[in-house]
Amino acid sequence: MMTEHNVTNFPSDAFQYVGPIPEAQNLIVRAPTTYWADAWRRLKKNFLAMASFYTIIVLLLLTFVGPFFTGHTYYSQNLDQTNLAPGQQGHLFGTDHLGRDELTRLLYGGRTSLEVGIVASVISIGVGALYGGISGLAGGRVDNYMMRVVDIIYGIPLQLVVILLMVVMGSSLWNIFIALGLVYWLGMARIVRGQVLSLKEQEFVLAARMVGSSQWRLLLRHLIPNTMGPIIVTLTLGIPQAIFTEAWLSFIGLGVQAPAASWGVMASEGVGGMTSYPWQTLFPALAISITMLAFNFLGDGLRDALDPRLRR
Amino acid sequence: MKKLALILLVVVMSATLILSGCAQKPAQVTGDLAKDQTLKMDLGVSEPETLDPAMQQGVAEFNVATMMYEGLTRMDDKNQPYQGVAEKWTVSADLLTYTFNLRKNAKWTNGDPVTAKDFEWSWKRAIDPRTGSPYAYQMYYIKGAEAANTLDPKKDEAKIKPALDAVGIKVVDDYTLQVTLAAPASYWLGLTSFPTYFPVHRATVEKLGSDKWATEAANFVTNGPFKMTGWTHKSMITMEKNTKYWDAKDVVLKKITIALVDDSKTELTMWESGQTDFTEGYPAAEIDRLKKENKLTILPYLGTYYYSFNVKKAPFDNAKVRQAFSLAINRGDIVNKILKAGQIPALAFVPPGIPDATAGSDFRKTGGDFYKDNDLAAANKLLDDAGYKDRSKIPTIEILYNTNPNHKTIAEAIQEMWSKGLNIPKEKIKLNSQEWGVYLSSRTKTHDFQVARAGWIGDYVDPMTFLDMFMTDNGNNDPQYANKTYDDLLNAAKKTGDQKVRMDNMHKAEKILVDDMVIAPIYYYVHIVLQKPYVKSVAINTIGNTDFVHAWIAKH
Amino acid sequence: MARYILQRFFSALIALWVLITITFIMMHAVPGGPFATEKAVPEAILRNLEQKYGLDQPLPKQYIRYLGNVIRLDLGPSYKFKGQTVNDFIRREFPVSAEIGILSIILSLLVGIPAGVISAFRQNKWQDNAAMFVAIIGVSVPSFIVAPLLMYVLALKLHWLPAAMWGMTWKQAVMPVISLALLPLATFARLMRSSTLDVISQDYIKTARSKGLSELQVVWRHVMKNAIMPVVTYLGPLIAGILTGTFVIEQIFAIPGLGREYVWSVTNRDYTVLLGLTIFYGAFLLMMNLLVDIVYGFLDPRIQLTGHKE
Repeated sequence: MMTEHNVTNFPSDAFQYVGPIPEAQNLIVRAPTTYWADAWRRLKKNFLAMASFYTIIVLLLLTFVGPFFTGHTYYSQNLDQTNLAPGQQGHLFGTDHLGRDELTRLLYGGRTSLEVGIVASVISIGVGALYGGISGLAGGRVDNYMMRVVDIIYGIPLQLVVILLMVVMGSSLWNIFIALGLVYWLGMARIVRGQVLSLKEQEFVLAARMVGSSQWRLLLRHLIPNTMGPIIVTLTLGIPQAIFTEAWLSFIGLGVQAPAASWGVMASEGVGGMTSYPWQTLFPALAISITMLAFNFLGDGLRDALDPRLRR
Repeated sequence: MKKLALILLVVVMSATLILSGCAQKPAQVTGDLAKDQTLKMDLGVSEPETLDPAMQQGVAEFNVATMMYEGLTRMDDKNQPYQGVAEKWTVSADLLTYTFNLRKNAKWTNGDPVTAKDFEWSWKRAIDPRTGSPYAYQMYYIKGAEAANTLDPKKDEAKIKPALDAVGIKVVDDYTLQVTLAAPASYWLGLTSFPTYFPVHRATVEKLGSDKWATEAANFVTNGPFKMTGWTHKSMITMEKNTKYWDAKDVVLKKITIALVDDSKTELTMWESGQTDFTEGYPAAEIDRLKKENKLTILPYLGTYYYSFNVKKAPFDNAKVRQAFSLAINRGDIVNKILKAGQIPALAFVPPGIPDATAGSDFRKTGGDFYKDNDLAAANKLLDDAGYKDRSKIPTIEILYNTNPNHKTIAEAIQEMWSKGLNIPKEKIKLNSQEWGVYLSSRTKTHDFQVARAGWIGDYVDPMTFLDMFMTDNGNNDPQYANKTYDDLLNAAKKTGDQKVRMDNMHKAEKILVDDMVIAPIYYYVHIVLQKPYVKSVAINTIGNTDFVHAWIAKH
Repeated sequence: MARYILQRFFSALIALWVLITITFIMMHAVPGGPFATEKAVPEAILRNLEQKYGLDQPLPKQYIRYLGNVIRLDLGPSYKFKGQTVNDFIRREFPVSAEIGILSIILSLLVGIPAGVISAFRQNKWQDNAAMFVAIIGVSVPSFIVAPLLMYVLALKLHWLPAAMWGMTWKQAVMPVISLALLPLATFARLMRSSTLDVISQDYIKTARSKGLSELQVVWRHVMKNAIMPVVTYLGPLIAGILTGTFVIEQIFAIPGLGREYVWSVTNRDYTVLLGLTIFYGAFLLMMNLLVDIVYGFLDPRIQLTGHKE
């Protein structure tokens, strides 16, 4: 099949050197830009995406600087002012069952949750997309083995892994990252692999192969960018899962130890008293939702901006 | 473990004591009955581990078994045994031999009579090491039971039968059972109301297999006030009144439905929405509201919540440090501002509700309190004296607890109390929450902890169930305490028949335990039940067992 | 194709064996045991129990015996629930979990896919933003909040539905199915939107349109088939995961399913149950993923799974 398209056997006299053509150079109407600069240019035009982008920056600022300006610490208790409703006694978001300021805890807890979200995304992209891409591109036996590894890891009871991690290494945020690292690339790997299986048979891949792209270049410059849609969706949907997994891990004892909190932990602890103190669930849930909305709309914007087909 | 063996109640002079009828059958219906005598409850577990009484070890399972079966006695809400299958009983002068006269009208659900042979066979089955009964040690009070149960089922197989034959259970005739104890035990009679001592239907067990017979509703042949009519595993159990029960005329409930639910939020929602009438499950965060709405029934509970100090780990190898940390806990705040359900701050270890030597007295009242709550001045002085005047020299301390929001809350509060009250830098006191199995292993097996959360519910109504835990060789001695005087006092108490000496020794022992502050008692438990106002006469005793035999639904 | 399936079948068996081995080792490495209790039990009684269940044997022996039983499809007795076997659990509880799972997947496909396609065709219009807003809320608010919230409103306040339990009336299925469907629904909507956008910018769709096909025909004949790939990929593990039960939903609604069993078996250190359910789930997952790969071939005939093309 490849021989029909063989480009190397043209007779050498079929082409003639014409030298530079100044007119043609002047025909360039668009300033030369890189792929990323181009994407950024298009992203800036997307209002929702940019609003989301700034929301994320504000959120990051709030969680890292905010706790210093609330006048409370995330741990100081006041047993005489427990479960205050929002706005009472100078507590804008109320207090929890130990009389701690909810707003401060929420801002402080955001650090953990955002870190977890970011780390999960990095793992998802860095490991998952690459692994899936390689598997799909290689195909055949390699694909079969690589995907069975994914299936095995899928099948191992995570709870057991987590308990073992805790026993062996103790409790820290790093161990949460390790636990997330073990599982948070599997879904991405499967999605990318599925897309690559389909994409690699398409014409543009054939074209890239013809001009002699290496396998790596093929994967990184052609296949993965063309999978950006599903990648970004998987990514943005995975972040809240990671944030809630962190809450569960913390509950089992792997994650941040009390009195430190995270949004996930606050939400899951608030649920117990949902009837009596609904705001203790509402605020962390709201914080997670706002963050997710921002990440998702930014993700959609990015997807549009990075889409190779929309580039013009 | 429970070598409670040698406890003499009273020095008795008369040859034989007739103890029958020492407690009266609880009160009967006192109002208008509802038309539908169905009690809807939930069990607080997703499935009973087993409904073979010999294999049970949890309260939820006990409560279901108590509906389905009946032992020689039943227990009322004051922890007093009254007649069950046994009509009357006599005790020999040395308090070792009990002779039970069984009622002749007690029947199995298939019509067979309940005889002394049923009890002999069932009890020996629980004792037989091949059965693998986890609660068999409740039988160790009977002469020869411990020896038989501790035989190795593989290596000593041949010895098992002779050992079982030697156990002090004798069938005099079909309706007379004679039991010989290894040593006098005042509360043994009460144990005959516990599931381990329930009779099981021999023919059924042998036909279906000792391990398999108790898994489907249709298989049960039982002798209690209710019989099982349905068991949808991990979902629902239904009971109906057993018309063949000898006292069926006094059983008012027609039906009991038991939802198998273990999520406290769900239990509460089901109860509040009317899907159940009786539950013991609720999230701690809702307690304030439930109390305000007058929905709680708060009952006494024989138990203490405490922190164990590991006396082999710095800095708690120093008694002064233990005392300092214990005194710096504000128990009043924990009870009144966090738990808010009527728990009592514990200023000693043995909870109230246990009778002392003289009639009508209470062990706790006689013993009094041992220390002041939240005594920060004394605590700080103790810590200075212990060589930690410079607080930054204190080694980092980790509080171990199992993952549960309630334990977490208390640990967080205590962390703050220690840090603030003793001026210890915040980062020096850490919390370590571990998954249940890991926590159990750290606390009870490897003793890999500095200070750990713990709780104890009495096995029987006597201070010994709380105190012998900390004897040097006891399996429950998590702090690894070793004090010869303490051991001697309790061993003497276990041997003496003089109730006054016993109690005296136990008071002394408790004082040693608390002075050494091996543990920091925090609060005495209460038993919280949510029951609709029309649910009447449920007998809940202070060690948590619940009997629905005489319950009824009032008109509403 | 037959050769390919056979090859996959054998690799699945090996994968399953690796899974069993890893889980077996980890399970015994974790502290605690099935008979550990807070109140100390006499040594002799622990020994009696361990002998009864063969846990006194050396681990390699236990492992080999276990593998032998698995080959005979006997997953062993539960240590926690006396007299019941893992096979009993699967036989009783899988149909329950599967019923809720299938209903949820149907619901999420029926709502999620059209929502995604419509969003794509109305890209950045209000329909799109609204649908995506709802979808994102759907994933950001987890089932452990949604489920009690539904219960509070529908059972406690409005008394429309029973709070919990299973199998007595169809009403008991409503809240679990909705809570469970939210996440896949949102995922499907977002995946569909994204891949539909990819597809409709391609030339053959423009061709199809220029041929004069109606919008609906374009969607049905050309867009769906090509855009549904990621959804199919996602469906593989999802079906395996959801049909074998979801802990949170089953726990909150007191549903006798496999998900609750699985999680509790870890807490209880009920070794046989944990291993047995891991095998069941693993086998299910491997099967579903094989199915997904076969479906790929139908959706896109260009896909060559065997990799023998060149």
